[in-house]
Amino acid sequence: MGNRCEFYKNLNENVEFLNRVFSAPLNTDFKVRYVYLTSIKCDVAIFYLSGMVNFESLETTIIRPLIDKKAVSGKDSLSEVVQKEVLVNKDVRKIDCLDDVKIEILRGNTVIILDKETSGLSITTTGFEHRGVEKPQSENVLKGPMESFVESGFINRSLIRKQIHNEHLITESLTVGVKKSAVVSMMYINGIVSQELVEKVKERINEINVDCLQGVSILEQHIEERPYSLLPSILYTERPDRAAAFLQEGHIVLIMDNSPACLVVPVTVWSFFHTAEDYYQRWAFGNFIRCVRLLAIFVALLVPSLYIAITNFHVEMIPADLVLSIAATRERVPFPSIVEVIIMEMAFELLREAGIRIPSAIGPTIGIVGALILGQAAVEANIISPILVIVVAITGLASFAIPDISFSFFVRLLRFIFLFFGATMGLFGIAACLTVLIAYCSTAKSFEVPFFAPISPHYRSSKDTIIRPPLWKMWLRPFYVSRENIKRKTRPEGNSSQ
Amino acid sequence: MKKSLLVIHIIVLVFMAGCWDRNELDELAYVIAIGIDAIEEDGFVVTYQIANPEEAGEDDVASEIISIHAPDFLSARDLVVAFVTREVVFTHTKVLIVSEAFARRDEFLNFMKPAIRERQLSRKINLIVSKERASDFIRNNKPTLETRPHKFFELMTDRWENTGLVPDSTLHSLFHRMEEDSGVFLATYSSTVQVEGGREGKEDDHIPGEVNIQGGNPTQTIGSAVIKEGKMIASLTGEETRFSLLLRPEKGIEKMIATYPDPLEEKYRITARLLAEEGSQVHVNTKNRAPTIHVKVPVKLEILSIESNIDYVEDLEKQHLLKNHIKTLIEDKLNTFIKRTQEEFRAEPFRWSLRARRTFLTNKQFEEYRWMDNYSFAEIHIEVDIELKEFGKQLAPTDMKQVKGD
Amino acid sequence: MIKPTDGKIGSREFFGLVLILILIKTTGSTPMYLFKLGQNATWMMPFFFLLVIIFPFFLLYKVLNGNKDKHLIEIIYSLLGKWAGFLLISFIFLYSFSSLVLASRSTVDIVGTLFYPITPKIMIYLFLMLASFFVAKRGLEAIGRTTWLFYPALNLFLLFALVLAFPILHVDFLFPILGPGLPSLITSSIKHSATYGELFLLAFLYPFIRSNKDFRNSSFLGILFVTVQFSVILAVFVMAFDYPSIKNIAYPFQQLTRIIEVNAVLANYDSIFLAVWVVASVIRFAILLYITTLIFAYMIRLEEFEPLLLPFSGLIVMLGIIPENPIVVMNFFNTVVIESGWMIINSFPVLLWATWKWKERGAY
Repeated sequence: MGNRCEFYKNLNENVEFLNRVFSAPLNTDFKVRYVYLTSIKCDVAIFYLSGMVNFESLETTIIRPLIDKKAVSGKDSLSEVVQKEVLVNKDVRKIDCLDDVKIEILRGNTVIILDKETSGLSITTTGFEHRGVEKPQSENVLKGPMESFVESGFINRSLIRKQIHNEHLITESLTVGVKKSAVVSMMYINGIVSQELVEKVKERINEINVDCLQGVSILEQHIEERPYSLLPSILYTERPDRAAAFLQEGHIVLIMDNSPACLVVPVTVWSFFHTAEDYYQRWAFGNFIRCVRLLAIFVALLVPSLYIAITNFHVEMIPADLVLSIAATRERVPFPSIVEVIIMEMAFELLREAGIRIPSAIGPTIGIVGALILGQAAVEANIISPILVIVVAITGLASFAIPDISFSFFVRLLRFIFLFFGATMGLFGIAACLTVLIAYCSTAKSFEVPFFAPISPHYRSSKDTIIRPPLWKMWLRPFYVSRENIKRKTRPEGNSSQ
Repeated sequence: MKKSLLVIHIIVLVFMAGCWDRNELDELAYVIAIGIDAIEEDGFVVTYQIANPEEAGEDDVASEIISIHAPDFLSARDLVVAFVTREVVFTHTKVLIVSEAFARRDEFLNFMKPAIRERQLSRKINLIVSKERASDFIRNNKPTLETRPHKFFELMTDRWENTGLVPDSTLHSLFHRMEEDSGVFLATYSSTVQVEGGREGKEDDHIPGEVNIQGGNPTQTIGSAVIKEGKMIASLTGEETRFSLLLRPEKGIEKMIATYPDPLEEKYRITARLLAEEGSQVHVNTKNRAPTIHVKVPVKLEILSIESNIDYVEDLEKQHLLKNHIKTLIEDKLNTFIKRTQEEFRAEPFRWSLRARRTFLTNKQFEEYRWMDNYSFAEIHIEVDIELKEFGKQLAPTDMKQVKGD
Repeated sequence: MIKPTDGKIGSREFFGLVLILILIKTTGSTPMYLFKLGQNATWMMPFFFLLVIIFPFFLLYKVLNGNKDKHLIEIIYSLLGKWAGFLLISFIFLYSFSSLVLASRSTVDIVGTLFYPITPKIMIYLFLMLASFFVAKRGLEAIGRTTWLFYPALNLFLLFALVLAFPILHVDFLFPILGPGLPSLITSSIKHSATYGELFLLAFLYPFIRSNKDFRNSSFLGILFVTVQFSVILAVFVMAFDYPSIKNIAYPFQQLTRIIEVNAVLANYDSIFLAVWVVASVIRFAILLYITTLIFAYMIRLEEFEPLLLPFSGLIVMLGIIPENPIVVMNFFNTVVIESGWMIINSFPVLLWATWKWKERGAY
C-alpha cells in the first residue's frame, strides 16, 4: 500500500489503489460507483463512505447532473469542465494528490475521478445525523436565548454567525494530528483579535500529535497550559450567545464536530464566574446574582474548613447558645468533627456522582434517598451531628451555583485542601493557604493573559469583573486580550436615560 | 521525585501541627460565671459555674457549680479536673463575681490581675460584687425565664444602659480606672439574699437585697459598689448610681423612670421618664489648686402619670411650676450626693477627670495636679436643664369626680 | 496579551506593598514601644516620621531617577566604589535581614501567645515562612498582584474593626494633647523613624516597577496614606485603652479586636481578624524575603537570586526561633534594629546623592 501522491493515468488503477486503502470489499461502507458521462464520453468513478454522505444530495447534485448533462462547451481539461459546467450547484474542489482523496473521503465528502485525468474532484456532501438545536443543559438562563450548540461543527458555526453579522468574523479550519482527520474551526473577528494570540493558538493546535481528536473537551486538554494544575485555563461553553460575546471582545472560539460546545481562549477568572444571564438581566439584578455566585464560591470553598477551624480551634467565636447546642448534639457522636465532615463530604460527592450516572428514569429517587433518608438516618444513628448536615448541604448547594464545570471542580477539590489546613492549624492555616492560593492563581496565565486581569495586574478596562457597570458604560474592550480596536464604541455622553 | 518528597514532608509536618491546640467543642467545659471568695486564712474559694450543654429538661440541671480552695482563680482550673472530666475553658465566661467581703480587702485588685493576662478571658466580662459570698450568690441565682445561666448574665449586663440602676462594669473599665487613678470605679452590686422586711423607699433608693419582691429569682441587682484604689470602700443605691451616670460627660443612661412628689399636693406623686439624650456638659477649671466644675445636665422629661388630678399638662403656668419643682428636687439630690463623694469617697465616680485632662498640655502637668486629691476641695455648680417633652397619650388627667358621677 | 509578562509591577501593586509593609506594623509589637515614648500623643509620631524620612527618601528617588537603567545596588557600587559600597550594602542587608527575622518571630509570638498556646512556636514559624516562601517563589508579580487583590479586603476589615470599636472610644483619652511634651515626642520620633524603613527597602525594587512615574506616585502617595492611617490607628488604640493602660497592653490590635462586639451575643471576632492579619503577614514576609534575598544576591553579584529564597527562609526560621521569649525579641528589635537603623536609613540616601552630584560635577 503506502502513500502515493500522484494519480494514476488509468482510472482502474486509481480505483484499485483506493480499494486497497479502504480495505474494500471487506469494508462494506466504502462505495465506488461508475457513471458514464455522455457529454464528454468519459468514465467517471464516484467514491464515498456510506453513512458519511447525504444520499439525497449525492443523488440530486452529483449523479443526476453527470448523467443528464448533454453537451459541454469548455475547452479546459476534463476535470475543470466538469467542475465548471456539470457540478454547478455544489461546492467542488480540485484535488491533485491521491492521498488527499483519502482525507476528503474520510471527511464525508464525495470524490469523483475521471478516466485519464490526474486529478480528482471533491464535492461537499457531508451528511451526518445529529440532534436538532436544543436548550442548554448546564448553562440555563431565565432570560435570553435558549439555544445551545449541537454535535455538528457546521451548525455550531451557523449559530454563532447568527449572532454576529460581521464581515470580519473569520473561520479558519485547522487540521489536527498525524492523519489530519480532525478539523478544528478557529473563529475570531479580525481587527479585534490580537494577531499574536491567533498565531499562538494555531501553534498550540499544530503541536498536537495524535491520531484522532474526538472533540473540544479533548482538544482542551491538549492545548491547555498546566495539565496537572487544578486551575482551568480554557472556558468550555455550550451557549452560542456567550461564544459570540467573547468573540466580540477579541477572544478566540474553537469549534469541532461531535462536541455540543465550544472552547474560548484566553480566559480570566471572571469568565468562569460570569454567566450570560448577568448581562440579560437589568443592571441591579444581574449584579445581585453575581454577588450571590461570588458568595457561593467562597461558601463552597471555605465553609467546611471554617466550621472545623472554628469549632476545633476558635470556640470563643461561637455565641454561647450555639456552642452549647452544638456540644449537646455532638455529645453522642463518636467521631471527631473532622471525620464527620469527611464522611459527609464523601457521601455528598457519592450522591453527586451517582446522580449523574444514574439512569434518568430513577434519577429523582437519588435525591430523596440521599437527602432525606441518608441524612436523617445518619443524624438519628448519631453518626453525624445535625449542624454538619447543614454545613455540608449548604456547601453542596453553593458548589452547584458555580456556573462553570471546570471551575466548580477546582473549588470542590480545593475544599479538601482547605479542610486539611483548617483541621490542622485553624484559621491561621486557612488564611495562609488562601494567600498562597491567590498568589498562585495571580501568576497563572491563559495564553499569556494573567488570571486576575484586569484587576490585578490592573489595566484600564470596562470594569466588568466582580460586578458589572451598566451595559452602555462598557465601552472598552478588555486590554489584556487585544490592543487593536480598544474601543467598542465612543465614550457615551450623559447617562442612560438620555 | 524531589517535589513529591517535599510535599510528603510538608504534609507530615502539618499533620504534626494539628494535634496541639485542637479541641472538640463537646470535650470542653464552659465556665459561665466565676465566683471568688476570701476565707479567713490565706486561701480563696473559687466557684465555677459550668454550663451543661444538654437541654435543661425536667431532670437536667442547666449548670454545674463547683467550689474549691485555690491560690488563685486560674490555677483552680486544673484542680477542677478532680470533679470535671472535661477541659475547663473560659471562652464563654460572662461574669466574674466577687464577694463584698473580699472586695473590701487590700489584695482584691492583685488577685484580679491574672484575669487580664489570661488569654481566654476577655476584657469584656462583667464584674459583679455580691453582698453575700460569691459561691452562695451563684448557687442561689435561679433564673426562671432563662433556662441557661449564660443567657441570664448576658441579658442582665446589657440592661444597665436602659435603666441606669446598675453601672457598666467590665474588667476593661475596672483596670483602666485603676491605672488611670483619677476617680472611683463603680461595679455592679448584687445580692440573692433578701433583707428581712426590706427597706421602705422609693423605687430606686435601694441597695440590693432591700427591694421587696415576691416570687421569681431571688437575685437583685441594683446600685453599685464603689471601688477606690483597688478596693471597695462603699456602696451606692440605685438612685445614686443613676446620678453618677447622669453626671458623666459621655452619655450614660438612655432612659429611666422616677417618681417625684407632687408640687402642689404633697401626698401624691408624679411619675416621669427621664431621657438623657446626651451626656452632661462639664466645664472644669484647674487654674487653682481647688478645681471649679460647672456641670449642666440636660434632661428630657416625659410625664407618665399624675396621681393628683391637677392639670399640669394644659395649664402652662402649672407646667412651669412642675418643671421648676422637679429641677430643684433633682439638683438638691445631686448636690447631696456630690457632697457625699467629696467627703466620704474623696474621689469622683463621674469621670470628670476626662474633662480636666483637657486643660493640661502634657501628662506630667496633669499628674502633678493630683486630680483625685484636689477633687474633695472642688467647687461644683450643678444645673439641671429640664425639658418637658411629652405627656403620654392623654392631656388633662381624667376627672374622677365626673367619672363617679358626683 | 499584548503585554507580555515582563516581571514588573504597576503603580497600584506597589502602592499596596508600601501600605501593607508599613501599616502592618501597627498590629505587631511596634505600638508598644511607641506608646512607651509617645504616651497618649503617639498618634502624632507618624507625622514626625514622615517629616524625618521624606527628605532622604526624596534624595534617594532623585538618585534612582538619575540612574534609571541601573539597580540601586549597582548604583551604590558605582558611586561608592567596591569597598565602601559593599560595606553600605551589607549594613542595609543586615538591617533588612534582622528586621525580617525579628518581625517574623514577633508575628509568630503573637499567633502563639494569643491563639495557639500549646502549638510549638517552631511549627507556627515553619508554617508562616513556608507560606511566605511559596508566595515569594512565584515572583514579584505574584506578590504585587496578591497584595492588590487583598488590599481592598484588608482595608475593609480594618475599617470594620474601627467602626465596631467606635462605641468604646473616648476622645478625651487623647488629652492632655501633647502627652510627654513636644521635645521628647520629636526626639523619640526621630529615633524611631526607622519604623518607615521598609520604604527604603522597597526602593530596591525600582527597576521592577513599570515606570518612574509609577514609583514616584505610589511611594509618595503611599507614604502619605500610611502616615494618616498609622496615626488614626494609633489614636484609636489610645482612645480605646487610654494612657497609662496602653503601656501595659501587649498587643493592642489583637486586644482591640478582642473587645469589640456587635452586641453581647455576637462577640469575639478576634479570630477573624487573626485570619485577615495572617494574610497580610504572609504577604509582608514574602516581600521582605524577596527584597532581602535580592539585596544579598546582588551584593555578592549573583544574577539569579530565586534559588536562594528557600535557604533564606530556612535560615530565618532557624535564627528566629533562638530568642527565648517575645520580650527579648522586641527589646532587641527596638533597641538595636530600629534605634540604630534610623541612622543608616536616613543617611545613606544623602551620602549617595552627594557622591552622585559630586561625581557628576567632576565629569564636566
